[in-house]
Amino acid sequence: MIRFLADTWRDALLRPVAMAAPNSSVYIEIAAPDFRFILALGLAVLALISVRKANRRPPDWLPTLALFALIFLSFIPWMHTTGNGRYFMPYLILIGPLCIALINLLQSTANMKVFLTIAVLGLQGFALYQNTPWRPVDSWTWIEWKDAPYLPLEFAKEAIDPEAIYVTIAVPTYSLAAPLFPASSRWINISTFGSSDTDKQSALYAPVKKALQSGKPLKLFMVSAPRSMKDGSIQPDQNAINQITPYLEAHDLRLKSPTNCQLIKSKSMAPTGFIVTEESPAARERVIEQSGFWICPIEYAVSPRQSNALTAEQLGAKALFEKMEQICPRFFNPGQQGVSYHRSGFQRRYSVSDSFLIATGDGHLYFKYDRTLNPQLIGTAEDVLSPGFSFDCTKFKGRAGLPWEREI
Amino acid sequence: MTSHAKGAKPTEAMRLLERLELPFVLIVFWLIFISVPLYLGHLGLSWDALNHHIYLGWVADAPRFDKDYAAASNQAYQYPYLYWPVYKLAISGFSGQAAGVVLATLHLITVPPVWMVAKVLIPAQGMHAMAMRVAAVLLAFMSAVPLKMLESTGNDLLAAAPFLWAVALAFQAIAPPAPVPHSRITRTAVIAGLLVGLAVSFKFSHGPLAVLFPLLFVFCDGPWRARLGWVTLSAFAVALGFVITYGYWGYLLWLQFENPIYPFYDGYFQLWRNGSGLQP
Repeated sequence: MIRFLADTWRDALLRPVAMAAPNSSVYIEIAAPDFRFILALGLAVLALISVRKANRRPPDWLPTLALFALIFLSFIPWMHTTGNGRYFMPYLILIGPLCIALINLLQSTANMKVFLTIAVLGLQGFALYQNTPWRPVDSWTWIEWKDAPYLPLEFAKEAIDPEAIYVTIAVPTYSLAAPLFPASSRWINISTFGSSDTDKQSALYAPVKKALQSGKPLKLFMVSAPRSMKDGSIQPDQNAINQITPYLEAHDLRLKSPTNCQLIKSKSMAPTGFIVTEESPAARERVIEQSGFWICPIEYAVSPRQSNALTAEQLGAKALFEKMEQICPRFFNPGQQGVSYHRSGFQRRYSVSDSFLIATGDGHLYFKYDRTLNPQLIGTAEDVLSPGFSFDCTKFKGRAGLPWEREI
Repeated sequence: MTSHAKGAKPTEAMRLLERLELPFVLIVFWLIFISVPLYLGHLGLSWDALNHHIYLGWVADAPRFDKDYAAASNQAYQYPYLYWPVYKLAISGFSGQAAGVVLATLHLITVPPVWMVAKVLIPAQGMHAMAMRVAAVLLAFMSAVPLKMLESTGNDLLAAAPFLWAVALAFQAIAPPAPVPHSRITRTAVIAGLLVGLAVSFKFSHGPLAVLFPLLFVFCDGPWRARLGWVTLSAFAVALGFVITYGYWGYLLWLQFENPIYPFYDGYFQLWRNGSGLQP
């Protein structure tokens, strides 16, 4: 994952400055402007000048120097590994005392020190006030834990099979529901195991396979999709079944036919369903009413393997993706075999860089970063595949440059 | 403003005020911390919470290796014990607001080490120095990242507590002007190292920061050979602290996957499992 890593030396060296930008996804997902690092650097220069002018060093200079060195040298391993603010927590805190200690080192009047302290507190306080971390937008919160229980689930205990194996097919896994079920129930997330596990029957996958073949009742546990339910029913419609089936088939599983899903309603899940705004009040009411989780009986059944042979169009897209994987392997980690459909052609997801490569039907290759509105043209298929093609991997739209230079 | 740094004797009232400084800071921060969930009326459940925070607390209560497989995807195998409080609060029927107040109170453990560092950086006596120290602690927490933790089930702030305590202890050894006995610095280097090892167990992400931490002892007062010894000792203590605190969980992962830090670096351990040895 290179989400918060700098792409150039310039970006890496200027990270303390970039951290002051009121943009999200600079060093953490949320907008968390932090002036303290750049202020500490400025105050350090002032303190250095001030101390050099004094006849003797102030007694408190050594611990301040130690903290300054510790924090700013720690940028090196931090920026080399993740650059994620959550993983820099000790120094995101200790930078505060460092700023005040540097003010304290200045050979100036007490009133001047008080003024500077208030100015620093005011500036950082203003940044915090303008970007309150608890606002509902640009937040980490998916659902709110208000009253007990933390995840309200409407189900009768006797309707739950305590011996069942619950299979989840996506992430987030919603494993927070698991402790609300009988402790004897078992939980498996099959999306964790990729084709390399299933094809090679890896040692890690063997016990999963054994559990799925154990004959115990198998249940698919997933977030319900009220908009993809049959009319007047809680059962998944054909569209939902079509979406679910490939995930199950990859592990020789299938929905029992006819589908007989339970709906466990959860009022906490209702707000997550409101993305479509053009629905009628009745349709919205239905979404609220039927938000929650499906529990659907599934069974082990070796399904006929679909041919892995790619069409000529898919092979063309694959060649484009693999060319970019050679040119920018840090962004597009090689090793994937398949290509997915995209409404304009084919795509390949690169979670390591939060991005997609999209090969359109009209012969163009695009880069699409998760945080941009529009894709970026890389070139025509002909150009990309030509032997002399090159691309500057530090120029990807949306993540290239300092926060204020980034395009959307 | 009065400063007693230059030898003037502090008054009785001033001494009393200084004794009350840390309790005052703790009370103020407790009120600030708990005001977040009280004001919001809920705790936010993020992607991570839906995926693994609560589940890991459940696992901390009783391992489920015999039942589940990757129930929380690969995050199911993170060090689970620091998630136990939020799980216990959740499963015990606390409201989000009440759980938030309890967790906010637990987060108070991060405040004293910050104040201790501020006290070393600004050691003077008197109202002015006291105000500067309070401002230093205030500015420490004026970041959206730690404040966000007070509204969520994330434990990054709590996991940083041993690291902050380690820095605070190390600064006691650096603190001028009175010479610190070498035996005390040695003891501090070991204890601080052990605490950093604990922080690494809590979150592997502290690992890169832990690499530089022992260098703090370069700033202690003593001959260079002794300083080098303290740095080495502290680095050793970091490793030891990690082994001691992570050992049991690592052992469980080893039994399950033959990789004590699964799923990290599993490619290397795969070679081990295949019988071709652990290779770079």
